[in-house]
Amino acid sequence: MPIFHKRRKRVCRFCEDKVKFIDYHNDRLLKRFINERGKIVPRRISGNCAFHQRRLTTAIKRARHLAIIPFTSEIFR
Amino acid sequence: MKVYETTFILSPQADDAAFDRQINAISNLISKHNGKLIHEDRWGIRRLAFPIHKFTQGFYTRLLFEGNRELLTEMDRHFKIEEPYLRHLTVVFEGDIEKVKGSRRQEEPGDSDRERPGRPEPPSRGRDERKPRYAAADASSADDDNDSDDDQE
Repeated sequence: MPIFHKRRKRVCRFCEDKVKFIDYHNDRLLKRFINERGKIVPRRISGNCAFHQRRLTTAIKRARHLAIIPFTSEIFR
Repeated sequence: MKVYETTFILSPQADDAAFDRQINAISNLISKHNGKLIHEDRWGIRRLAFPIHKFTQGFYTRLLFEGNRELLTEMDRHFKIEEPYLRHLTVVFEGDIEKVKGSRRQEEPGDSDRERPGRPEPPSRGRDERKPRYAAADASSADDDNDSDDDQE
């Protein structure tokens, strides 16, 4: 008997707050969307909508250029 | 005239007078080309996420201004040529001018989204994100075979 997992509807947190512009100077916010390696978290994990994910990506890339967040974080084994 | 925003990093090896001089050099460029400086925000010395020109710290400044094309070209030229400017980024300003004016970086303006204390990111759905879905060789994961970290992914 197949079990269908009821997934609660994930709303994009930016859409909820009706954010139009994601500030690339805000490292606290941006750090939430990069993983330990410094890579950008994919949308299926972060739950963002396509619109905001694109904006978030450009913000992260700008912040990386300005050394506000890293391009890559080496994890010591 | 459009509103632009430029953020730049100055070499930390300088005193306050030198920082003033370097930042005023940009402001003077703005007024020289009939532009208007709307907002200036100095973040001070901050640790860089990675070394730039062997420096690990830098003095960040953010300017909002109105200007024309010649101003932009001139500013860009200045940033590239002069030595103390380590990095610069100029964009067309999107966002709320009033909101930016009201909050200066030193006061640590709050995030616009909800606070989720202590929660780095939602747990993955069980698939190892590092490995590609398909068998094709993926250059970025070529080094991943020896990793035994990232348990929280």
